[in-house]
Amino acid sequence: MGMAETRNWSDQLTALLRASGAAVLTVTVAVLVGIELEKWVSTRGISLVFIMAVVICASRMGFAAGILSAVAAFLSLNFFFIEPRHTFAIADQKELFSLGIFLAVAAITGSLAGRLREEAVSASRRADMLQLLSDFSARISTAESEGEILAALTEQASKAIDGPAALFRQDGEVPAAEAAFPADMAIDLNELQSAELVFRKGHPLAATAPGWAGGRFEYRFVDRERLPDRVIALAPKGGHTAMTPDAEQAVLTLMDQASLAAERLRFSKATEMAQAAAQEEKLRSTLLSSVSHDLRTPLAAILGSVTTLRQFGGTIPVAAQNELLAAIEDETRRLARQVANLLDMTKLQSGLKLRKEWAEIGEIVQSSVAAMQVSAPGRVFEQRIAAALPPLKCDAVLLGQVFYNLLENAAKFSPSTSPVLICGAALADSMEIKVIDQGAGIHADDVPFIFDKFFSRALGPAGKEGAGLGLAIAKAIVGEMGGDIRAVSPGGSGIGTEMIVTLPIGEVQSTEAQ
Amino acid sequence: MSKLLRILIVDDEPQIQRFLRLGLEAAGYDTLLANDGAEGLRQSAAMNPDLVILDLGLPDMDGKQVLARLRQWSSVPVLVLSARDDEHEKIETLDLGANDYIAKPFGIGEFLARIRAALRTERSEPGETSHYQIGGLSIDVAQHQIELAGEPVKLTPKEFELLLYLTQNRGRVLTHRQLLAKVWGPAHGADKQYLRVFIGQLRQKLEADASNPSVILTEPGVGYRIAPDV
Repeated sequence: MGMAETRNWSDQLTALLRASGAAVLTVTVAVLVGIELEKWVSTRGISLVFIMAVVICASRMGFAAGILSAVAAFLSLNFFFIEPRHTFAIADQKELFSLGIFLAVAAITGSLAGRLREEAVSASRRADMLQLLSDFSARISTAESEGEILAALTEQASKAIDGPAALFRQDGEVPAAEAAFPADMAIDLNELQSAELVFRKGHPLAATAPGWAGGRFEYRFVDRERLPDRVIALAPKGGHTAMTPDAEQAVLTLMDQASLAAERLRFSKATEMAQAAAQEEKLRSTLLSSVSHDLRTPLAAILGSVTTLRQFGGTIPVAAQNELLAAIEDETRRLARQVANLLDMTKLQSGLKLRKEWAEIGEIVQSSVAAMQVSAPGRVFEQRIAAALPPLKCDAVLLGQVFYNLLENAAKFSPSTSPVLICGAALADSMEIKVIDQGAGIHADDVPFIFDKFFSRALGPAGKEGAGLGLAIAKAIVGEMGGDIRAVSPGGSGIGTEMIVTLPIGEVQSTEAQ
Repeated sequence: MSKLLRILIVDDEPQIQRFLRLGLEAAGYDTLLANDGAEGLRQSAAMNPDLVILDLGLPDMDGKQVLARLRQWSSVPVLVLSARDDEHEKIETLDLGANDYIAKPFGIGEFLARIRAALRTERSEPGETSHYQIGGLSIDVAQHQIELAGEPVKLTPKEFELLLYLTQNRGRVLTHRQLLAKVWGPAHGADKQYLRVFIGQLRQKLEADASNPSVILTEPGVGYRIAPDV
């Protein structure tokens, strides 16, 4: 038997004892049945009863039991039913011959039935292992972290050996238990020390028999090359030597697949990170050129206008002088806005502290409109905020910035003669504030991206529409307040854009508190 | 008085257009405006300006593209306005045929000085003039003689050639590549080290304080120019 090498003599003895017990038991039953039947059937018929006993024993208990029961049946038949009875002597030469045939038939039948039984058992075990491996493959193919892969490895290995399994990671001097199956299994100092020893010596560690120093677990490296810092501990059911070759093979395959999967994951993570870094780099350079343009253009206009006034102030007409002064004023405001936006973005990125207090949404909108009116004099901003809106616990300054950015966009992207509408209404447990313009609307392809940092509708070489920070800032602020912002274009009236801000009513938790 | 020189401003920022226009007109130039690259090219062809001011950031196309197209048929002096710090871009525009660049933000005085320099080099064809005067430095092209404050200065032929080329383009930046190609030949376009050594020698001989030059100015990362007004 293939498994003989892996079992020592005591296991073999146990198996032999169990087989003998089964043989004795079955044959005893056969003897009792035979004594009952003797009144009606011949000795030949009784010998068939013994054959049946051998077949039953072999098919239940395997090859060894088959042979043993065949011998026992032969002896019992001789002892109880062949004249002279109650001795092993045989009077009749013919009986001797048929008894010989019986022994041969019983032995052949027993061994065949036993082999069949053993093959069936090992086939079903192999099927179990294959199922185990295929489950494992399915699990690791969707795993998104090394931890998931190793947890799956531990669980499947535990199932393969039909006993507890644990995984240790080398974590500085002391190994840490990373996964265990069953999950509630106790890992004590003994196991950790053994794992530490394995890492320190760099050799796997065999389990010891109960009562001996050491532990019930055996320790193996998962993969010395691909996962040199992981050791798996296995305690097969039935003791330290009970791992079957199938289980052994399954565990090896599991470890191999797990380390391959972990390696693959590491590579794809590295690729992902490289891509993210490249994306980040691109974003950074977009920011730089965009900020450079947005800050330098107003600066250039201011410096140019001021130096022109100083150098030629006397020689240029008064109207032209006023034009230059107006340009200086406008550009200074523009510059201040850009700087404020950049500072806001920086603040938002480094984690924002909300200063929340009770405020009326109508007042916040009013202050944003008033601020817009300064930079867009003559523009009509129509406010339709429902009077019955409940007060909102929010950061009024930041929320004002949100509406200012929305109003500024609305004004920028619609004809200067068209009004910009601001509506506010209460919903079940939130309120909705819409900023509606009558401009050309947002191109359908752009809608998903308008809240991205540095997205700007006309992000041509000039980036004329600004750094594309306004909506990103608005989105971030509203998000901090537990609300949401979205764009609908064309709006309800079929033209223009509706920017819809939803804010929860009642005490709003800052997401930062988490 | 002769006809006013006509300058085309290609820029999409109204505030920039405004002070450029007012400043240039106050300085005695006639101005034309174009809001984008296509309009700029059209006006360059139709109005035949004496100089083009070109912003690199335009709504319809890259300023460099405008420059490249313009250079296919026109040698009008081009002064590039750049809002960018990028040395590569400056070199690229100069190699594409821009006569000079000025980085935003800038004062109108500096800007007008660049305009004058670009117009001057355009109108005085190299080789026509046989004598140059830069502050106390006088250059006699025909005699290959240099005098500094009346005292003769000895220059090697390469040094003389380098100084002459810079002087002929006085006030205008010349890239390392342009200088190397002119003085050492096109094969030496990348040997910046030569240039650094020769500029150093020229400064030792010509500058009052070689470590703080006032005649041969460095444009970091781009090239050199002779100070427009010494």
